[in-house]
Amino acid sequence: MDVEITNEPPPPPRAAPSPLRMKGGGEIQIVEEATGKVLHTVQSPDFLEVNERRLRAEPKY
Amino acid sequence: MAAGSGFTAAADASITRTIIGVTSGAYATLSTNGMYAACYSTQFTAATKAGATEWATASDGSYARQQMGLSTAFGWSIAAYVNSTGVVWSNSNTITFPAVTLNNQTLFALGWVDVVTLGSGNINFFYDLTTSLTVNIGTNVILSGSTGAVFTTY
Repeated sequence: MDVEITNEPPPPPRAAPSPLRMKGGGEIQIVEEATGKVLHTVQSPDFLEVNERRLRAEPKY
Repeated sequence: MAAGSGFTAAADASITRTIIGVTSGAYATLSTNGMYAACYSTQFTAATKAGATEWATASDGSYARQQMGLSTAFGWSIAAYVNSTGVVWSNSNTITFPAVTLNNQTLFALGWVDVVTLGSGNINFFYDLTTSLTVNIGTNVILSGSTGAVFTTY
């Protein structure tokens, strides 16, 4: 049986569903009250990504 | 359990019901006081997004939820939508929890609740830490302005 070969590009992938998604994070400091000394600075796992988004979203002057 | 962040499971449900117009179980509009930050000794987790244990005054006598701010945006800076980034908001003010008293505490997550009273209200969003952190007596948990709480919807 002959097989027809075409050069048509494959169909584009279907658009991914677009639910409302949210993520967040932050940088936490643990500070000794009496001295003001910062004992620990901890970042949550998603902090770097969301903070990069924050910097992108801030208006530039 | 894997650390998570974002809307709590309850907020997922209530916001969904609100935007499609279902009254029962819809999102509870906030009071005029905005949101309060809260400390948790366990994670919400990425899978369940619920069930974390908040600090209590029985263990830390000075513990209290902290109001994010009083101005129109209640302590949040909200940026306009940016393509491929979404809507980003972050805390405008430095948030300082009272120094721990009575017993050392374990910090494993932060959450944002719609009322100040402990044991009450809706937890709308959160972020977990990867590993828990010991907060000793005499120390404060501080969220610096702009970087202490950063969230995005997209």
